Amino acid sequence: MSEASTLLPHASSRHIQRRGLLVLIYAMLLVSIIYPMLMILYESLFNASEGFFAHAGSVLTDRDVVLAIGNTLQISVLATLIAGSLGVTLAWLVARTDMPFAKVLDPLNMLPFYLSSVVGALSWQVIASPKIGLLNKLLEPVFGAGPVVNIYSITGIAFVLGLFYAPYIYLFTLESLRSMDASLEEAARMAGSSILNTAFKITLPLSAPAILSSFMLVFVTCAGIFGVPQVLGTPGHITTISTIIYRAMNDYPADYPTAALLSLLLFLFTAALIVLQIRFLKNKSFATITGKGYRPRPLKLGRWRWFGFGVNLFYVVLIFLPFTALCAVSLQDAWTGSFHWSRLTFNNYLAVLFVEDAARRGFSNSLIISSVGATIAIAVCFFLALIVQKTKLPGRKVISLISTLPVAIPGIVLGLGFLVGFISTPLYGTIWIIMFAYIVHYLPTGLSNMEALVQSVSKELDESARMSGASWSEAMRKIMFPLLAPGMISTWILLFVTFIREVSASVMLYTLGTETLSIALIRIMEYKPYGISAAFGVLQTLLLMGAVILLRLVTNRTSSNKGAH
Amino acid sequence: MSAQEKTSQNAVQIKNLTKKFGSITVIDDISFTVKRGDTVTLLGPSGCGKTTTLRCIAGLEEPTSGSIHIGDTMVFDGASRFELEPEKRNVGMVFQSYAIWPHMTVGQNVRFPLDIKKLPHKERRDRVAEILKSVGLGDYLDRPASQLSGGQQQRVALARALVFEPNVVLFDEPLSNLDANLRDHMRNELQELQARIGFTAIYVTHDQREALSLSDEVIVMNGGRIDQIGRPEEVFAQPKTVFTARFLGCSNIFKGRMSAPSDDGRISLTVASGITLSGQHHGDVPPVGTEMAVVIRSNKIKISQVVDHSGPGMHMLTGAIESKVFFGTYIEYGLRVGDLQMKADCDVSTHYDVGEQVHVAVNESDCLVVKV
Ligand SMILES: Nc1ncnc2c1ncn2[C@@H]1O[C@H](COP(=O)(O)OP(=O)(O)OP(=O)(O)O)[C@@H](O)[C@H]1O
Ligand SMILES: [Mg+2]
Repeated sequence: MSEASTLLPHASSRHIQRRGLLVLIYAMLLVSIIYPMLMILYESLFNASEGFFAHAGSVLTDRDVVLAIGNTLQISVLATLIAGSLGVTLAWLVARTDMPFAKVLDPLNMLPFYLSSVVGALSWQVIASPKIGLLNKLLEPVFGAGPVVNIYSITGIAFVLGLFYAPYIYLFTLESLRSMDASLEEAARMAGSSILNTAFKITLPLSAPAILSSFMLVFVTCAGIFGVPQVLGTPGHITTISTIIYRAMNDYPADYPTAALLSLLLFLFTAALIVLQIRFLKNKSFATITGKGYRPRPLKLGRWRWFGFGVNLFYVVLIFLPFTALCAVSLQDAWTGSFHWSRLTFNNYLAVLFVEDAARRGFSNSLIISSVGATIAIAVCFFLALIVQKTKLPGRKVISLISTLPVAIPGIVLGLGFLVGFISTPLYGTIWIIMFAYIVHYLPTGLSNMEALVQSVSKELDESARMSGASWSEAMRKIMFPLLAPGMISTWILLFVTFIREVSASVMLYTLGTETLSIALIRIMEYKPYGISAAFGVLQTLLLMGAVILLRLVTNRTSSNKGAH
Repeated sequence: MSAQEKTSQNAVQIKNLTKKFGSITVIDDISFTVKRGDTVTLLGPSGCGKTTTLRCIAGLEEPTSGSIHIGDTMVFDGASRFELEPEKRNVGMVFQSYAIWPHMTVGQNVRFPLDIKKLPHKERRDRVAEILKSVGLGDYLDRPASQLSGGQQQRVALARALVFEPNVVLFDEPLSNLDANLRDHMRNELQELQARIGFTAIYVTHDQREALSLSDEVIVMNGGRIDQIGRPEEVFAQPKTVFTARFLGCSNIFKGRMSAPSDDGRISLTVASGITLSGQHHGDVPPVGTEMAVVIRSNKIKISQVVDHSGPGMHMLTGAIESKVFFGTYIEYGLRVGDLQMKADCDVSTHYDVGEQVHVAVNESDCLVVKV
């Protein structure tokens, strides 16, 4: 009953226009998603001078490649375990127990979700680098000379990734716990089961599908991530698949076939895991949400509640302490491993803001890319959401399927695809190709948010759709916009934040003059004194924090608006 | 039961239990005891605090004050802030949503409490088989619990609550999610099982039929307080308050001020201008002039076209038929008698038309005088 034809003005039921619309969408998706991936396939299959099989054989038996694959797997497994144990434990403490200050800790646990893990890596160097790390200095008298902890290691990389991806698992687990019928757990208590036993025998298995899918998401993300392994892996000569793809492209001449082959490998691995997960979840999820659920009384941990608080506080400290240390470093003219008031200076900030060209370009490029990109992404995703949700156009399922495909494409792979695909177009060498890649990479996020939004105002959409001709635009402006605005703004801010800190795709696409913020940071870390990188990292974090605060203001206002209705 | 043989005759004893959520008092100073082997029903309208009472006994909710004993064990004491964890109370519970664990089989669900107790494996197996047989699910041991119908889930929940021989089993409206036929069926089964195994039960419901048929004692609750406690027959036949009378299906309730009681203990109330009804009163006689109410079940009101029910101890009135509703086994007539409106349930063979003038007769012994 609600055809696209009535939603979109004057695109009445005329056949040709409808077909034109479909063709346009397919062409868009083809060019932005399918074509880059096909180009990677083409590069790896046909462009190696020695032929595909010989090339693949030599690449896959190369010691460095084998080592990198091993490292990638180790890092991803370890990072997922760290993120998983943190995320699940903290979610359980916040959602189910009488841990003190849970309401304050909840948003703090979510904070790393919005921050840059590259800045995290940068700040953990201050704490745990082998030579000047604060922790090593502190522990030197106890354990003697030699580094006790080393952030430039597989464990170090996995640790930082684990800290920064814990919020993903935290969020999924929290939602699953909050929607679960509490009487399932209470029934176990009545059957004689203790709090912990209930958590392990009932709560965890019941939320396992949600938890496992978030594990998979983190695992896949960590396997394809570039920033943290690049920053922390370089000093200790630890490579991952993504860093050797980058290296292959940075060699002179750039080794396209090898980079493409490795990218293909990474993509297939990611895609296989995601397909596996979807298969697995299909027959494993339980409907644990039942009607008359009681507001669960929080579990009494007794003396242990302060222990739980300690655990959660420890996580928050692991996030904030290094950042504080980074601030300290950024305020010193030279860093020697301890803070001296006599060396207090703002020169690093002045250098970042007014002297370092790359840093200044990074700021302006990223601000333009992120704000324009988020706006276009919202528009495109909203349009697609309307088509998918509110029309009966043939092929809308295919549209939605292709649009979610980028979930399985790691940023660096997509970046390479764009590079290979568009290098001979005028787009290459501008900031717009980077923006284009971002939009495509986060199309699934934007689309699912917009689909949820369209569903939530579905009724109003139908009603405004029924109004005819002239009143259509008015209905959109007066009714739809106020309803849609909050959801659009919060998605916009989320995309903005994601774009600001993005590294993986841009590292393939930037050229001199089009550096993004994170790229500039990584570049500056390579050749500038530590204090300047620190100041840069602090500024980037402040920018992200500002956006987060804005986001909370918007979402709080919307939820209080909804409450008033 | 043998393992938990205790000297006390009381399975549960509750004293001055109060529960507040913030500033709202949900349970207000209630006390009652449940004898070993008895079924006691908490009966009352929605929101009167039945579930909360049950959850306080279970240990899932922390009372504000008062004390709770289960068997000889104190499980809660407000004065000393003592509280025993729910898992240590040895109490079974059947939840309204059944709370069957969907990631386990039927057998695993029922065996769970025995696994916790680490009983010998053979005993676990035997007990699970036995209890599943008694609830009629003998063949369902290895069925995934997520594939059960509502009635089957209900039986699994029951088996799981009974299998570890708890001191008392708590039921929170266990039949309310079933359709009417199944509800009657399950109620009978529950009754049989109770008779066979003899467990102690506290049963929450807002359905008077369930309460009357299942219990040894009914506790009528109203706004967090106990309105009346008694055997089902007693509560049904002799409600002490208008609330209990109405909740147990009395539809004729007439308020009035009482005059001096007569020699045979009957109390007369003037319920409308020119209409005085007298009836039996149980309990202390309040002072003359107190506002009381006469309650009459609608099936005790007799209608006729000629005066044929008269006799000693009969109230004889006249009125007009105002409405007529057919209910299958009886017809409910709405009557206007002076300023009063009455309801009378009559045999389906009666044929009075709306507007028709009739004689109305009520035996004094069917009139109860209760507190307002
Ligand atoms: N966790 C809670 N916080 C605040 N108020 C609560 C809470 N649980 C129950 N209440 C309130 O306590 C009162 C009694 O609730 P309870 O669930 O005990 O009623 P009930 O007699 O079981 O009702 P029903 O027949 O609807 O199940 C209700 O007014 C309810 O809103
Ligand atoms: Mg209830």
